Amino acid sequence: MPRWRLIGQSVRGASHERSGAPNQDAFRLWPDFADAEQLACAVADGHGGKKYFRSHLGAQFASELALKALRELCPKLKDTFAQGQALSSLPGKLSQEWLQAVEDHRQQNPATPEEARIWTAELNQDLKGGLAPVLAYGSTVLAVAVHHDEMLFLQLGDGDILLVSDTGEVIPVFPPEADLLGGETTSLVSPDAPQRMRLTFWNRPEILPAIIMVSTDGYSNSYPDAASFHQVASDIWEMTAEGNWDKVKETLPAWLTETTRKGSGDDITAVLIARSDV
Amino acid sequence: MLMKTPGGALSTRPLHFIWMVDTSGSMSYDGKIQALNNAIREAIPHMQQVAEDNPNAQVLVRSICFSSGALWNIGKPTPVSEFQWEDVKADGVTDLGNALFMVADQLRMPPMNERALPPVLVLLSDGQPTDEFDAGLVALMKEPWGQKSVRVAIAIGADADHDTLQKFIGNSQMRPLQANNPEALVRHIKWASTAVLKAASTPVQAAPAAPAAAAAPAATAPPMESAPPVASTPPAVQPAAAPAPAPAYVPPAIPTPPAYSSDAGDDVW
Repeated sequence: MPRWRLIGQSVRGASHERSGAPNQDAFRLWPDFADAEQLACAVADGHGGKKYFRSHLGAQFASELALKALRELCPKLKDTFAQGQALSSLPGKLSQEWLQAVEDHRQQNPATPEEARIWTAELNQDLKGGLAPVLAYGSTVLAVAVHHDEMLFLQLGDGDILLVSDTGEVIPVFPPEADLLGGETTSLVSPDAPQRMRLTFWNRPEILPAIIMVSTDGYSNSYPDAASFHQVASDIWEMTAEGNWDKVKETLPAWLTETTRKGSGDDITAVLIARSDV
Repeated sequence: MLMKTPGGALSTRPLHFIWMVDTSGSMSYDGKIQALNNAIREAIPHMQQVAEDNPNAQVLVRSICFSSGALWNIGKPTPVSEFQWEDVKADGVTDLGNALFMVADQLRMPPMNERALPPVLVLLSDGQPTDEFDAGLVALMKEPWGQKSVRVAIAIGADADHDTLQKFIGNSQMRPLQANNPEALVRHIKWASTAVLKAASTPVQAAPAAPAAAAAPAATAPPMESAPPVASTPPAVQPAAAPAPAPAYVPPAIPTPPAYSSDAGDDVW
């Protein structure tokens, strides 16, 4: 049975460094050590911008809740009944739990005068120091669970989940959402979040990806086209196949920092999952 | 051992900024066209400063003039650091529709790509369109980047057609800016080319303007070495007792133009 290893890293965007904005991405890994039979990861990208003034928190809630849900599912990935249950209930459950987490936080943390001032100035809507709107927490979420040769992929909003085959071929799990451009994304704050959440299982144990890369859109937006971005995943596959996984882990923060500086300027988060025999 | 950064060549995100300039004969009255030439020229260093402050956006500027027909007077997307304004002259009628068709052509994918930032279109006009404005606007809005573009309009003088400009803007929260004298025109052009440019060039995500009309999209992981995974469609499950989600908005958030006390007086046009 295959075993897996994973690493993750997140860097604050170069434009956020300049503006003083925090890193609005978040990610969670389970477990946080190498060579596991099962693992899960979740990545989230808070929308940023003044009206999404708590989106770094929304991203944290999203990554925590998605990881928790996928950890619970992990041992049952082979079970077709559990798969059916996940397909029917996970999008609604995750959306609902996220909204509840946001609601709890809102109740305990009313908008500060500064948040209310910014909101009023930006949107001409008066918060009067009351509760922050749900919109302020807007975030995407991407997650992967792996148990031996079974996998689950989940995505709401922009970002990428790429698979690399044993021959270096790169394939996105989900196609880009063609109706969304220029920073628009589906989101956990969208009224139709459960319907827009994409979920799929990998049920072909005889053909397993060598590398899985999960990343926020700050990464892909740093390249002029999809091919240049996909080359990130194939280059990492090549390095891993040459026995340099530890070097990849060590160098990943520097790569991401360089990428945001010379590329999109946005926060970048990347999680890499590699089959242990690669 | 140093390892090369993985991936292809890195790239900042292109932001296309397009001036749409009315050069009809009426713009020659009372020095309007010269005031416009001066105002755009004066705005360029400010645009360059905004672009310098955000090196992760590659601001590319061009300009189209419309009178009897339309013409790209600066057709090549020009890095703002190299952008220079050559004076334009006024003559003829106001074929704004023609200009919209030509801008729509340029916002098609390709030549645009999906990783660009929302384009900014700044329309300057003193009159009423004399051709198929509505058809031109439909053509623009048929292009995905036309829909996502940030559209600003500046009405020059009392005869400008605000209804047309408002239709172009397509956002009831934003009104055309009224310039009744050269000073106001300078201020409005400077605002459009700095504050609007800055807002559009900042990478910010946002929830889409409206829910998708269709039901849940099929989850479609593609085949790997001809072996497709089981693809599934998540059902429409609504949260049961969660608080209602907030309404969504369209990015980017364009700042409110400043109010100038002098705009009320000193009307020249």
